[in-house]
Amino acid sequence: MRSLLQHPSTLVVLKESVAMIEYGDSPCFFISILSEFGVTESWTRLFSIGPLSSVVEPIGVGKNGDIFYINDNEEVTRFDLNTEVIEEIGVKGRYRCCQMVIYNESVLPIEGIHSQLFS
Amino acid sequence: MSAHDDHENVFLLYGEMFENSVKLDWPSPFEVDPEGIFIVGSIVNCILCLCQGNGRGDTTWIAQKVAMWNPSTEEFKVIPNGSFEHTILKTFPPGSVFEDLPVISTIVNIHGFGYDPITYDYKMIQYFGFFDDVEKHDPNDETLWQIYSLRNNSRRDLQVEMPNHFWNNWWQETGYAVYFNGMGCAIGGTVKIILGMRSWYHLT
Repeated sequence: MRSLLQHPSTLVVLKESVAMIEYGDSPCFFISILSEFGVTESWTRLFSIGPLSSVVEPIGVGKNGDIFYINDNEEVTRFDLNTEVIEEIGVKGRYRCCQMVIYNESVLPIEGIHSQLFS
Repeated sequence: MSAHDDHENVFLLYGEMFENSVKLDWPSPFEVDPEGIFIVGSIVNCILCLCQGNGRGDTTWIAQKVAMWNPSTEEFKVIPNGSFEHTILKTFPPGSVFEDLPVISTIVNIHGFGYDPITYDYKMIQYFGFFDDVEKHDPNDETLWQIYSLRNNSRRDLQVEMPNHFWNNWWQETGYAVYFNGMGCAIGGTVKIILGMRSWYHLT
């Protein structure tokens, strides 16, 4: 685990697992998953992605396992885990100032959703 | 959906290749001065938790605005900062390191946002750091964790001792926590901690 923590990293939920994306010195992302809560040893480094050109910072993941990152042109870039296709999505994003989250539309109120769902 | 503070905007991106982009309006508490807003952790039940401000302050006031927001309905709910003077006094009773200070310089970091599936309640986990020396960059070793319940509109102290290695130059980073199956996961510095909505685990 010690080696896992030497680089900047960000936690994400990737394909229904808590995962950690490490990045930093190398042009690769290292993906680890946590298989059991509370068990340090269950962090497993699964694979690395790359080398990718001009990775600055991962900012989020998509539903299909896409990994989004900022490149050195400040372009939000999508890496498709399945096809390994890389593309800029046409959105600018500054280093340390950009987040991407998965959003589903919902008209449910903030409070009282339980009574609406289960009554 | 993305937020970045050069334009201080939030966009909804959709479509097969995210080719469609809609700029959303921030909820009204953030509209006046939309700077440095970040999304706390993950979206939970289609609700975003927004946080603005660096969280610096003292025992009576904190530069921080937090709200839950449903962009689809534009409903929002501001989470009051609450009164934490008594909490700080409890943490630092007379005779403690802070006794001689006229005010206790404080920072609050919102660490995680989640939903407790047992009590059907949104919860938010926050961390207090304290500065006993303004010359020093790092806060004191004393830490205080609290959990906020939307249902009760109240905070309670978490009886945990966790290190403050979360501290870093990038206050935005404290929002990088994820929500997963009733657990909130927080990350920072060289320590990883998973904060459950009902229990917690400490990973070193």
